[in-house]
Amino acid sequence: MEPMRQQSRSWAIPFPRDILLVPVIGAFLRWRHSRLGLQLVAGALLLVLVLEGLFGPDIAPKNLTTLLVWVHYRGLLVLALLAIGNVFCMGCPLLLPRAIARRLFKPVRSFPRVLRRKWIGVATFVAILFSYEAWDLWSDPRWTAGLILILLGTALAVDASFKGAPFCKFVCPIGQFNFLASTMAPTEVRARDLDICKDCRTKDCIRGRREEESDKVIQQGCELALYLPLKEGNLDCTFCLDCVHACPHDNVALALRLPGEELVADPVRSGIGRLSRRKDLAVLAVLFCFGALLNAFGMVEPVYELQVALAGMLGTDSEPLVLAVLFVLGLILLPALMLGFAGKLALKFAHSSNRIGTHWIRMAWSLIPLGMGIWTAHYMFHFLTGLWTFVPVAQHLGERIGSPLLGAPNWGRGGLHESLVWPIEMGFLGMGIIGSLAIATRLVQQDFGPRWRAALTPWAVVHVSLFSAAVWLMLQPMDMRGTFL
Amino acid sequence: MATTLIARSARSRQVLAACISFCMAAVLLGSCSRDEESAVETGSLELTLDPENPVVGPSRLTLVIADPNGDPLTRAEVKIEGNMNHAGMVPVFADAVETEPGRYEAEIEFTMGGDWFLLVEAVSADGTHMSWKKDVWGVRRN
Ligand code: SF4
Ligand code: SF4
Ligand SMILES: [Cu+2]
Repeated sequence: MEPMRQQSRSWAIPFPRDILLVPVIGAFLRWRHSRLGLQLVAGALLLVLVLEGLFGPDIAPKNLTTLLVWVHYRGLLVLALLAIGNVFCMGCPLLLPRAIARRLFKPVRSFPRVLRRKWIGVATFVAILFSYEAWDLWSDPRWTAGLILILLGTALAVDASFKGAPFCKFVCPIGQFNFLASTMAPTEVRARDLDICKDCRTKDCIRGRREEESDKVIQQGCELALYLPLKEGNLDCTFCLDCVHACPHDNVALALRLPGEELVADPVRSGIGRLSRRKDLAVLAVLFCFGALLNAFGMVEPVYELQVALAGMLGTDSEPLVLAVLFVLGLILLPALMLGFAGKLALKFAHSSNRIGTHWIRMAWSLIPLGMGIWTAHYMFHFLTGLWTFVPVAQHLGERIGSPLLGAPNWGRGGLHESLVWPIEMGFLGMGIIGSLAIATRLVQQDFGPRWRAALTPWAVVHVSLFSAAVWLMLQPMDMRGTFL
Repeated sequence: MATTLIARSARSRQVLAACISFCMAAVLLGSCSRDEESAVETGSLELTLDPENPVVGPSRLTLVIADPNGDPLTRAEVKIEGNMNHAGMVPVFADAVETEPGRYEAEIEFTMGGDWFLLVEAVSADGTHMSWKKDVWGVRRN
């Protein structure tokens, strides 16, 4: 399998396949300060959001922060991931304070080896999902701004203490989401021609480009520890394009590719290793899919009935406690049962002696397309139904700060009607299930040879059940309630 | 080298401490300012909904308003704005009409299931402003 991939990767990418060669956009991306430019624009917006969140109206629908963060940012994030790639990491303003701190001094320690797995990312990812529900972040401008500040502070603290980009790689919950989601993106940063890399002696893409006499780094290499000739797919790539600027042979492309294809390959990936050996990443992939379901489930009527019933059973009226039980059920018990059985049955049906652990880890990746479909469908609901609501809210902000520039708020502006958004949601879910089944099929074909059909059956049942659950969820009216007890 | 190392790690500890205090300050700031409701309540408002457990669609509101002295607030201009807890929804508006001294009625349309809140604003004949925020949780789909 591997020699074939090597071959398929080694063609020089002709013009239209490399975004960096597209006029204007390519020229911008190849400009050394393109990332900083994007970050500064995003940073200015972030500053407005923090101030508005802390000092603006206490009412979520009238506060630009809650609106832009929970409706527009999330919608654009998933759209950009599917249409382009990890551009939100590329322009991420959370790294601006860190960039300033790094000018003051250079941390010398590496991030502790024991922490160089995704377990912290797993924890922060679940923590965000949990606090979102438990403290209704979406209806609270103060806490939304607080969350931004916590992320900013953590990024600064982690990256000021350790070299490289450990915050992005191991800690940031949004980063982990983006890494997984960008496996479904149509572009990838990769070496143009592996033969050039073979003859390359400096390896600047990873080491950084240095001044000849002083050996001072003048353009850093990949801070995420991805060495281009061995980089496979988008996992852990922030699209920062440092490698593009560092490579002395102009041998790095932002290449078009088939979304999701990287999920079926299992070469040794630079900075990651083999996916089939990474339990932590597999757990993250499972959380990505089940978290998508749980997050959508948190907004429909039946969840409140379930929560009330749970509260009665537990004899408590503490919402966080009930929610914690729900999270254990939805993010641990349910996936453990479903995936556990599917894996065991797959081996049994295929009369296979493959290792069950490896099988589970590999098949976890087949959940990504469906997970992405669910996140996108859900976020599109909010984004499209509330598409134009930022206009009156921004006008309202202008009015408050005494700027007549935007005019009086026109509160009638909404977005698409629910009935129009629904088919779009179904479209994303449909693409998700097709992708998941395709990837599951490729994986079992690789692992079970002629008996792949038998092995696929239980997994197809899992995928179709999750898909049906998602369709049912999207059919429910989105209630968006903050309280249930 | 050794000294710079120490200096650097001391510095990074400082930065760390600064970051943590920054975060805590931010969070405290956030949580302190939480309670200051943007609505000022001086008089009193009693709000009843018909149907009592509201469903999506039109809903009749009865508002009994008293001025700061406890007397019925008469001949006031009363406006109601309905919003959902979640951002990204179009608000709904209504004007209330006085049916008895201090008693106002209005019809408001809940356009979607979920948690709503109503912002009620009354301007009395002498120009005093009063406003309230009332939660209407769990509007159901019929
Ligand atoms: S610096 Fe350029 S040519 Fe050298 S290994 Fe990296 S991508 Fe290949
Ligand atoms: S490979 Fe590394 S340096 Fe290149 S864009 Fe991705 S994260 Fe940045
Ligand atoms: Cu939702």
